Amino acid sequence: MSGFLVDGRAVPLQVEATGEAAVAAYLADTPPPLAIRHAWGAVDVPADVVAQGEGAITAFVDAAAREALQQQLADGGATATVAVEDALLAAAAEGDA
Amino acid sequence: MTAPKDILGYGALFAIEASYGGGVVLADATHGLGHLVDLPEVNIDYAHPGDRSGRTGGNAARTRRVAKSGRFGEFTLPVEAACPGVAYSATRFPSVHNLLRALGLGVTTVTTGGSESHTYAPTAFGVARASGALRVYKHGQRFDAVGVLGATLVIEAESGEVPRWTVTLRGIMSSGPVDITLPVITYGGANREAELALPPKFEAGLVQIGTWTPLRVQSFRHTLELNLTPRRLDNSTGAHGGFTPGIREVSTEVTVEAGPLASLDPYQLEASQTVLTAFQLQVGSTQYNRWRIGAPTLQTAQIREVEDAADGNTAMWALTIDHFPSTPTANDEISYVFN
Repeated sequence: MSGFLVDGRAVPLQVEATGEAAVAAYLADTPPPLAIRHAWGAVDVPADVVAQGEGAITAFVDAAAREALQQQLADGGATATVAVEDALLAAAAEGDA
Repeated sequence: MTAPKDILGYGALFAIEASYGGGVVLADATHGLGHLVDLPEVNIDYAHPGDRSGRTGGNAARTRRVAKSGRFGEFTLPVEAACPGVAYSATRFPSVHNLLRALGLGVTTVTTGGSESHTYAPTAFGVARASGALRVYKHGQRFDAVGVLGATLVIEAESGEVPRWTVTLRGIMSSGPVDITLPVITYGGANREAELALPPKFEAGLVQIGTWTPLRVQSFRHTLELNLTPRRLDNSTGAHGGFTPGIREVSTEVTVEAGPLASLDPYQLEASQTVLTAFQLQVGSTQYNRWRIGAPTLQTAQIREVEDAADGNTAMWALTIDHFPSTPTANDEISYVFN
C-alpha cells in the first residue's frame, strides 16, 4: 500500500523517494486498473466478449469508448468524463475470473 | 577579521525518505524548497536534557549534568503554496507537495486529460507514512535532520493576500549545525514550475459553508495538528528515536460578512451541532493555479463556536469550524485539492 496513488496505481514509498524518473518508470510498467482506464466511457460489454477474458474486454471497450469520446467531442463537449458503469466492472471481474 | 554571520540569507532542502529516518542525499540542485518566504525557525532540543536526580553530599548543591542525548530539531517553515500553471502529472506537483506528504497526507493523482489534479487527504492506518530529510540554511549555518514529520500546519490569509502556510516539522538531528556559506539553490525546471510561479491570492475564490456561500470573507485560519509524540532513544546509538503521529485535529476559523440567518444560522448550528455536509475554501480560480481546503461533499464539519465581530461598520461572524471524518473508518475529514 502507498500514500501515493496515481490513476489507481499505488506507487511504493521506496519508488517515490527515489525521484521522479523512478516514478515515471514505475508507472510506465504498471497499467492502471481497468475501471480507471475506461473511466472516460461507459460501455455495455457483450457476454461473448466477456467470455473471452480481460484482453478481449479491454479491446472492445477501447474501441467503443474511443468512438463515444469522438462523438461527444464532435457534439461540442470539451471533455468526456463519465463514470464507468457497474456492469462494466462486473463484466471485467467476470472476465478476469 | 572574520565577517559576521548574517540573518539575511536562508534556504531549505526537503525530500521524501524511502524509510523512516533513512535520510536522503540532499542536493542544492534538485531538492530546493520553493517559496520559503521568511527565515525558518530552528529549535534544537534533546530527548534527555542530561539532568541527574539527587544532590551532592558535601555542599548542598545540585549534581552537575551529564551530556545531553537524543538531539532533535523543531523547524518552522513559512511558505506559500504555488501551483505549476500547467497540467499536473505523476511528477509535477504544487510547491508544497513534499510538506503535505510529511504532514501525514497521502496524495491521489488523477492524470485524465483536462482535469488533472492532486488531492491530499489523511493517510489511512496501515499505509506507510511519508517522512522526509530536511536541510535548513540560516545564520551562516546548516542544520540537517532526518525522519522529519509534520507536526502542525497553519494556513492563514486575509482577503486579497497570498495565504501563508506555516509548517512545523520535527526530525532527528544526528549532528549539530555546521558553518557554511549559503549555496545557490536551484528552483524551477522541468516539472518544478511551481517553485517559480506566483502563488494564487485569496480572492475570487469560492467559500462554502454548508449550503451557504458567503459573498465576502475577511480572513481564514486553517489548522491541522498531528500531535506527534517522541519515541525512545535508539539503544545502540543513543540517537533520538523519532516521532509517532497521534490524533489528528483539524479546524478552520473563518470570518465572514454576516448574512441572513435563513441562509446560514450559525447560532443554531452551534447549538445543535448539526453537521455541515459541505465545506470548502478555495484560493485562486484559474485551473492549475488554484487550491482548496475541504471538498464540496463528503465532509463532516461542525461549528464549534460563533462570535459576533466587526469589520469597520460591517457586522461579521467569526466561525470556528471543526472537521471530522464522515465514518469511524474513513479518513476524509479534510482534503487539500490542487486542480
